[in-house]
Amino acid sequence: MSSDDFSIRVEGLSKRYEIYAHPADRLKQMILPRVQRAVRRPAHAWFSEFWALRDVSFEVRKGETVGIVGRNGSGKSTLLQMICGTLNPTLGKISVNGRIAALLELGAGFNPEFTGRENIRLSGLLYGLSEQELDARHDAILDFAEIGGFIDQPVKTYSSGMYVRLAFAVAINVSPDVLVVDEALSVGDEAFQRKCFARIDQIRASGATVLFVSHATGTVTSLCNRALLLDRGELLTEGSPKYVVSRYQKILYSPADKYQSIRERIKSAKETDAFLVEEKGPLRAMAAGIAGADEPDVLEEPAADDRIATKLVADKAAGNGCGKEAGGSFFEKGLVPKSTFRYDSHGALILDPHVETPGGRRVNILEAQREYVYAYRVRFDRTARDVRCGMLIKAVTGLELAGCITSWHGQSLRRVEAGSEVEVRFRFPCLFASGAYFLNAGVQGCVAGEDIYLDRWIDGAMFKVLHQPGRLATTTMDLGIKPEIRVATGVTVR
Amino acid sequence: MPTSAYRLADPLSPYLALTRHFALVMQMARRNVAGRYRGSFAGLFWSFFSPLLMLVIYTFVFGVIFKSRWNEQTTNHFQYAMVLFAGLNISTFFSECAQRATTLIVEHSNFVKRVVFPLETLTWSTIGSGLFHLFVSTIVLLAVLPFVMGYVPWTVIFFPIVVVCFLPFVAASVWLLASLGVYVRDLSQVVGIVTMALMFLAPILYPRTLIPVPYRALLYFNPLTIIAEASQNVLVFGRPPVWSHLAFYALASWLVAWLAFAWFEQTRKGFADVV
Repeated sequence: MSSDDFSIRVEGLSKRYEIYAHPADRLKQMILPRVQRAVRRPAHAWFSEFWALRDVSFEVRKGETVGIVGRNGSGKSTLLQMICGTLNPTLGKISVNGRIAALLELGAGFNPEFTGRENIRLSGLLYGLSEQELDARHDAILDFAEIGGFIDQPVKTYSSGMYVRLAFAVAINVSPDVLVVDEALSVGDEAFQRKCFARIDQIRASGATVLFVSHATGTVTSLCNRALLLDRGELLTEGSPKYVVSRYQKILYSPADKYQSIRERIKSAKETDAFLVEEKGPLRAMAAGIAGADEPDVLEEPAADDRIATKLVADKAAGNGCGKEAGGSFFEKGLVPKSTFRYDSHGALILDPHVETPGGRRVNILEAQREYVYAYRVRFDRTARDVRCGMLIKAVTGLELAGCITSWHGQSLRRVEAGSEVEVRFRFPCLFASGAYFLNAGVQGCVAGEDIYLDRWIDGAMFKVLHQPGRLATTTMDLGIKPEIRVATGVTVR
Repeated sequence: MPTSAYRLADPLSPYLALTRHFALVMQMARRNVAGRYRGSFAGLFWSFFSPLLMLVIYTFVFGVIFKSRWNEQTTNHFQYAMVLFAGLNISTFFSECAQRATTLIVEHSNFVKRVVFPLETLTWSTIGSGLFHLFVSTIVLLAVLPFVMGYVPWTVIFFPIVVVCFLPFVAASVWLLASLGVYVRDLSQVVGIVTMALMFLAPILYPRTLIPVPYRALLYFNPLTIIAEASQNVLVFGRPPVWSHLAFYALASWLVAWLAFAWFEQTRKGFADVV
């Protein structure tokens, strides 16, 4: 990689906020210590300090989309502000390659008394556009903002949605080399959000770099190809969005007493290499990883007593005519999730989450349109009441596709004694397109009068769906949509 | 952005702040002017109407009631109001800019913290909107002069030169006050008193000759004196400015602007910490 391939480079960045009791103290701090040093007296500090960011280093390559996650007060905004140049770093260096447009505080440069048109001009100039560039983009901005006749009204009369749409339209139409987005996408209706994402995609496709901060972890996983986790001003870990988001959630839900140890563990752990193959998109990386293991290590023969499964498939075949002889699905030992993440247990342990055929044969390479069972056992160390178990199927991007729980609160297993073991089975039709899928498992219940997660696995198991030739359904799920096409008038040749 | 975007050793750096961001300065100045009257019924009409009304009031009060005369030689009672107005415009221009300067940065805290903004240009846009009002007032004066005095002096053409010599000093004050105003919030109270003192202690309400000789030289420590006198000379009396005074003033004014700009650029690092 050549040295000017980077878009943002941050080296040893630290920010100390100096908190002054009076604004005048800031002025004293600028002048008096120099005087004191000049007369060889110890310099006095007029502020109390707060380190918002400590020794953060990372590099963003051109064209990457990088997400930053972290709890409130973890230093995300400080970092972004320094990258944009509104804040000065106390220590360290930032280099940014190219024009940077920030959606930090949308409409911050707007004057409420002025019309939308005037504000477009003003904030365009703020972004460093020339008058000519502004004229050229004016129509595109108006189109994007969808404000209609209100554009000639003062922006104070705008609804908050219109206000932000206009601000967004300006920011996103300045053709930045680096786009910094901070929580800005939670505005507008879904159609507008979709448009924003499409526009960000377009900006990305044109080779720009996007830096993205959000609490919406789903957005981070689906939009970014790398993520950083900040906590208390420190860069805890970086890696694939899925990996980082799972660590973020761990931090987020950690009890106060365990927080430090969890934090240390995340900091010292490194993501396995398989997850760092992100440039072609996680899905392809995963597929490549599987294809790389040419010969499956273990290819279990169909079990002889797989009668129930055969019967089931036969039933299905009779029903909709899509069934085949069982046995197309098999187990591949190497295919285990590398992103498995276990929450701390509270009195129960989930054991061995896996997928099997209805007959009980363990599989992880599945055929579409057949039924399978997701099963796990739960061992109870403490007596629990009101026990419910749940599952969730997710796509590689982290998108949650489908979930199920064994029962609602109140209709669940009344009481499970300590030492007992519970078996949970979720039967599901494999309605997915080819690709890899991940499974969560969770047990909720009442221990010591408190209704909590007794145990919880993220990405406890995974399966891959084989490509199905002749599949008409597009994208992820096949809901059995029946296409029909005929010539209404006229003649056509087939 | 830890260091200034300008080479501060360059004595022209204060003006680079203007030329580099000229479109932005103009837009902001326009916004300042329009913003004052935005939403009002008569709009921009007020910027013409209020100086005109003031001039009429001065003329009536000092010409008709007090029957004031600027000096012994003149017999025209209304001349006093004209001379007063010519000097007062300069002082008003200055105090308007200075007063705005004290809250300039705090009012635009968005520009400090949330967007990357060339803060130094706020000075020029403040001056820009001040200049607009000075221009309008001068037009009003020139429009009334023929009725009161019977002529418009040809020396009016020197007025822009007088103003240009004044500008660096005004800019210097704005940069200095804008920066200090962030750290010392009582500044706007003080500035109100100081600008009023400067007005009363300059030959604006009275001619220099009225001051006892021992104190007369002190008058020139007031930065408004030379400009106010020059303005009275070229706009009303029909005399060219005292060129040596003006040249000296221009030099000093430019020096102060250079220093104040450097001060502003040095102290702006702390704005975000306290705004």
